[in-house]
Amino acid sequence: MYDPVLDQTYRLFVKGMGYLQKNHIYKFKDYSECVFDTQVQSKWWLTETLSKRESRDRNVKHISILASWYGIVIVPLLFKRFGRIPIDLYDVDEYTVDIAKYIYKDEYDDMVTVHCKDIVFDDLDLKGNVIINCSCEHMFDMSHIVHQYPDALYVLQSNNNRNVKWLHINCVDNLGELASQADIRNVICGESKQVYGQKRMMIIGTHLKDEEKNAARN
Amino acid sequence: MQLGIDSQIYGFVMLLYSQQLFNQLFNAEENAEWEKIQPIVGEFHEALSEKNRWDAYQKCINYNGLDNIVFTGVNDSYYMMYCISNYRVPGIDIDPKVTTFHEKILYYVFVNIAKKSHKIYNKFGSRLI
Repeated sequence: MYDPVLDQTYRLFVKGMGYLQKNHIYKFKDYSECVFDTQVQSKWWLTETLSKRESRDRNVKHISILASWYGIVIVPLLFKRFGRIPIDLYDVDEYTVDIAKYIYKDEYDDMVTVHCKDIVFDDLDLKGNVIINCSCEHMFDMSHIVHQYPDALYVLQSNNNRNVKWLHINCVDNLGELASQADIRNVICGESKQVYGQKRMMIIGTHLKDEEKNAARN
Repeated sequence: MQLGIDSQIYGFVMLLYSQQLFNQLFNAEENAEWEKIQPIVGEFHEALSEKNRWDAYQKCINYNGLDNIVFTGVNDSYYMMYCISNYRVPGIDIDPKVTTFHEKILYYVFVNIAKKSHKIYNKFGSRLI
């Protein structure tokens, strides 16, 4: 696929490559995978779907992205759809975070903040009213985050690709399993699609049901 | 006419080139492959400059969409990606002045991807026909 916003992704990728070449050359293979087409397709799908829902009744003001990796595909797409809103990236790998910080410094200094955190074991202070995790298959059930931030709107992706046994430790087979794993009780949107031979699933929703939210407000 | 680089083409180039560099330059001696790969990635990074990109864009506009394209070195990376993304490139020739091992690896990456792209651009599916 081609979208003009991808030019921005490619530019950020090249910027990061220069820093990586000098400081983290051993990350080159990992880095080169972050612009693979599966990444582009899944992030494009996410932002397009989120923007449709957002236009209905959600106000996307601040986004926290968990297990963000370098984020260079999703960040330009989110800016295109939602304008220059604050985006916080969280990743556990300190070298990935170092490269990501370099990528976003200067032109995105005021908008993108990169944190080196283990989202399962570290204390987090998530500020986003929207929390995205495109890598649920890599980690413990998302419910432990969802219970800490029950008001947020969650956008979660996972897949059924169990071939990568050492990384994909928590795959799901259907949308219900993903919602249940994260304890998302109010599913606004749930879709699945085939991406390069695997089934990729996405749900958008909240833990609190609308009536519970309204009751809490009153 | 606006030309873009398809995400499949860009993604496959980066992935295959990095895989091939690691496979072909692997050395059992600790950290030896990094020392070989580092200057190659530096050269690749320079080749992906905005200036080269603009030159490649213009060169691609002037491509007739029918002939083989010619790989003259790493600086042609954007040109290869623009052509393969937007035309059914029948084949890629290599300039005789390309002699380094890593540039030949890159050349074969583009040949591989151009052939794969024929699934999308079938014989009569070229933009120009």
